[in-house]
Amino acid sequence: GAAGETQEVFKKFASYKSEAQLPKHVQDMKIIVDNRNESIILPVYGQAVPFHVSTLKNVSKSEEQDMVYLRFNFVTPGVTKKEMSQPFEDPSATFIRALTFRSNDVGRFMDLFKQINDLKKDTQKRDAERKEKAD
Amino acid sequence: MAREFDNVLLGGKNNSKATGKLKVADVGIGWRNSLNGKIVAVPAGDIHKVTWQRCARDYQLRVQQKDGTVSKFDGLPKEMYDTLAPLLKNLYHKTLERKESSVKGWNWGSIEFQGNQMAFNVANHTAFEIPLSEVANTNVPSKHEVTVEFATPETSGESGSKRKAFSEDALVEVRFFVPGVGTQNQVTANEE
Repeated sequence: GAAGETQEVFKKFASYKSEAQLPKHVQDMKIIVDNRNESIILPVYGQAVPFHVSTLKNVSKSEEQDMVYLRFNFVTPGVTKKEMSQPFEDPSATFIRALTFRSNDVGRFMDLFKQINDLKKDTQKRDAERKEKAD
Repeated sequence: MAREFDNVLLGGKNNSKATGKLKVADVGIGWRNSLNGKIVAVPAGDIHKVTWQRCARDYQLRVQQKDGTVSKFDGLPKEMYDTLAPLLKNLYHKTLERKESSVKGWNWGSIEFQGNQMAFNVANHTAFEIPLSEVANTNVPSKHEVTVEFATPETSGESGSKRKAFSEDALVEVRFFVPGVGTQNQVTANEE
């Protein structure tokens, strides 16, 4: 086909420029949604680790007894044709494909689930609009 | 010459709020849990490398021993560098290196093993470290995937009452994708 055959290029993005820009409440060691910087911040063994929403494929939740789990699935090179067409800065790097967190605070995790999906939807919508304008 | 620092947290733990007293003295570096009196000690002669970096709870003093063991002390104010750096220099002749953490928000990088730690580095800066002592299980679910499961407070017996709300969100599993050489060729071959 002729239309839409232009090669997609990898677009650079970054959550923060420096550590000083991390929100103060990362010290609570809880998952944070930072809408302004289009990022989620996950607590990993004492470190506050941001992930830009562009790296996030989706988030799923599950409940088991009194526990609630949030699983963050990230965009990685894969084996399907669609995944292969996605541009990557370094396809030979090691990727984080998923991170699963657990809490017994069901209400807060449900709220996070909604916030993250909203952020994902909003950025996808904005990107689509931007693309339309550029065309 | 010895100095004591209060309200210091033992780093590299899942869901651990224990604060303690950090003591930096000529015999070595020690941390004492204020709650149960447990001690983490690094003898002066075993200190190999000391680094200073940002962590979730302010700043961290990371002490690497000659055998690779890493101890982390979190919750130190940024300005404490000016006190600690000359102290460590005087006592152990070690330079307190400043290390930057990655806050880029990328999910790709490289894995580096350092003693009892597994680091995920993004563009030459560490995004996070996994203490291998906290790893409960590993799996290879498919050719290019590796999963690492972690000991959670119940399984490691470190939590108090089960009914209480956890104060922190605990990482239970990470799944890595390791492309490796040949992937591209294999996929193409499979599609033919």
